[in-house]
Amino acid sequence: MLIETFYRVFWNMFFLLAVVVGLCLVIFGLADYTSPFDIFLIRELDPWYKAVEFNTYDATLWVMSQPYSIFAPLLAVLPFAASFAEDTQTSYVSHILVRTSLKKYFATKVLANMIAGGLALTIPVMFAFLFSFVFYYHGLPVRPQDIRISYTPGGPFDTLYRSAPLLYVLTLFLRAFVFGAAYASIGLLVSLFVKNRFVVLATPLVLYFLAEFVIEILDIFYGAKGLLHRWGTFSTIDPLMNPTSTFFTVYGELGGIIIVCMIGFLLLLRKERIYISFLDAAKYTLLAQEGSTR
Amino acid sequence: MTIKWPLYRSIEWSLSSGFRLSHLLLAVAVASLIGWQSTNQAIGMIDIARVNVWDSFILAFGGPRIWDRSLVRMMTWYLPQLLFFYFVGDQANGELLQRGYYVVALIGSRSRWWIGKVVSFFLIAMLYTLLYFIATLLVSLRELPWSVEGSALLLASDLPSTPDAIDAWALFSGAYVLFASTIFALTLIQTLIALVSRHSIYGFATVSILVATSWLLGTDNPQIACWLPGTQSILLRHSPFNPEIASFTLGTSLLYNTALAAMAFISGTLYTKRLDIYGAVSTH
Repeated sequence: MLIETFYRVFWNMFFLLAVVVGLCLVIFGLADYTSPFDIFLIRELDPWYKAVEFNTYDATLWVMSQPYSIFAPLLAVLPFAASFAEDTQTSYVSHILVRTSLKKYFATKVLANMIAGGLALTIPVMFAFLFSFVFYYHGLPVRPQDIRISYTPGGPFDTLYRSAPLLYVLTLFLRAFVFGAAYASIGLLVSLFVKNRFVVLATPLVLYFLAEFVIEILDIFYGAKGLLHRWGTFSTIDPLMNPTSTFFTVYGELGGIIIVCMIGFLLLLRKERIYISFLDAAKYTLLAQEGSTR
Repeated sequence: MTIKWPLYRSIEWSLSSGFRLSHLLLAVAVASLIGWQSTNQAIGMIDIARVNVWDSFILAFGGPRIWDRSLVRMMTWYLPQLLFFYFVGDQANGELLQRGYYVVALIGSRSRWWIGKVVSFFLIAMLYTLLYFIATLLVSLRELPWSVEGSALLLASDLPSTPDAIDAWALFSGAYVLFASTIFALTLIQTLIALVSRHSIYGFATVSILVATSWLLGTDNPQIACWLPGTQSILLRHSPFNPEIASFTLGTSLLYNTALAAMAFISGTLYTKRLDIYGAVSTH
């Protein structure tokens, strides 16, 4: 069951599409940071050029910012979050439940969905890191005048940024993975209520924006001066969004999302519910066919 | 016997089948929050004796300036558009895949169905923009005074240039036409992509990414800003408010949006003529 589900996840056009779109977004970010071509050009023109200004670690931080961070929820849900809605609509669910238990079926789906969502976000960042590792300088600027982004980015594990930057980059991969897993779970949770594939895939992105906006409003309303804003949804993926964010605000929020989704799955997942939604879909199709033959 | 609905019936059908009360409530709630946020910003930015409701309006719908990369400020401009694409993203393709083979048969022809959709999107874009603007202004009016002279913020030296003859009506109508025409043109592109690919999410993803990347590419790039789709809804990047872009007038933006919408409409008309309404897969 697990192998078959993983085969469905990774041998899938949507997973490939999510990775390709993610790659396009990080390439945009890299070009925005400074393309390798520009570096060669600067090197030629400017004898005082300091390679350290453009480095691998800053480049990785930068690509995880805009536009990658804006569309991260969309990349997370694309591979597999709508699979349950599809299974219900195509009646695959009724066939598979003859062969396995509902618990096993859904547990596998949740796991595969989280891994797919996580990888869809991590692979583009890994690519950006490898690319920048080849083309940019591997070190961090020490003198304040050479620093282009920030001395330390803030947020979880920021002390590693100076002492062990490579390890810090690994924590960025982890952050992207956990974010992808959390938002893919939101998509799967939505599919328990709605069987429309578009709604399942687009809702997490809309919620991501709405939550950020509402948190920003609450921050102004309570005069919190950024204390509430660091709980914003953008800060959970974008390491440069809010330097006051902490391990607790980032992983606490993402962990909270995952826990809420798991509770939602446990409470909402009933065999009858699946069959009722399946019967609804079948009834709807029959009515539609009846309407067309009249 | 062939039954054909008149065109107004197909428009009526499109409007009624796509209407969701939850969407309307969400739009009003977001517009009110934007109004409240921009009112607070306006009060904090300008002298309390001079501040008026149009200052809040310009902060809410002016959009990010040419050098502005702040995601927080971009949000008040981007969020209403994203919500609109979400609300209408599945209307045409979803209907076609679920019940296309009898809706199109009832309407009479594929072209009539497509024209009905385009006209209803136009009306929805107009109404949605009006709803947003009015809700924002009403919320701002609770704390700020009305004025016919336009935004004090624009007339002050905060902006690089002081536009002449920007009164309240010019500001409202300019922002309205730009916003409504941009979301209409982009919605047609979104719908066309959804119909061709048979996946509504592709259309939604394309226009959402297009608008955000246009904002990013246009930032600090006045030479290309006016050519990027979606930038037309940013009032503060237009020539009267930004001397760095000389030829980016409200008229050029309207022309750009009209050309974009016309291209999408013609492509859609040609495509829907041969559209397979029976071979659709039910997953969308």
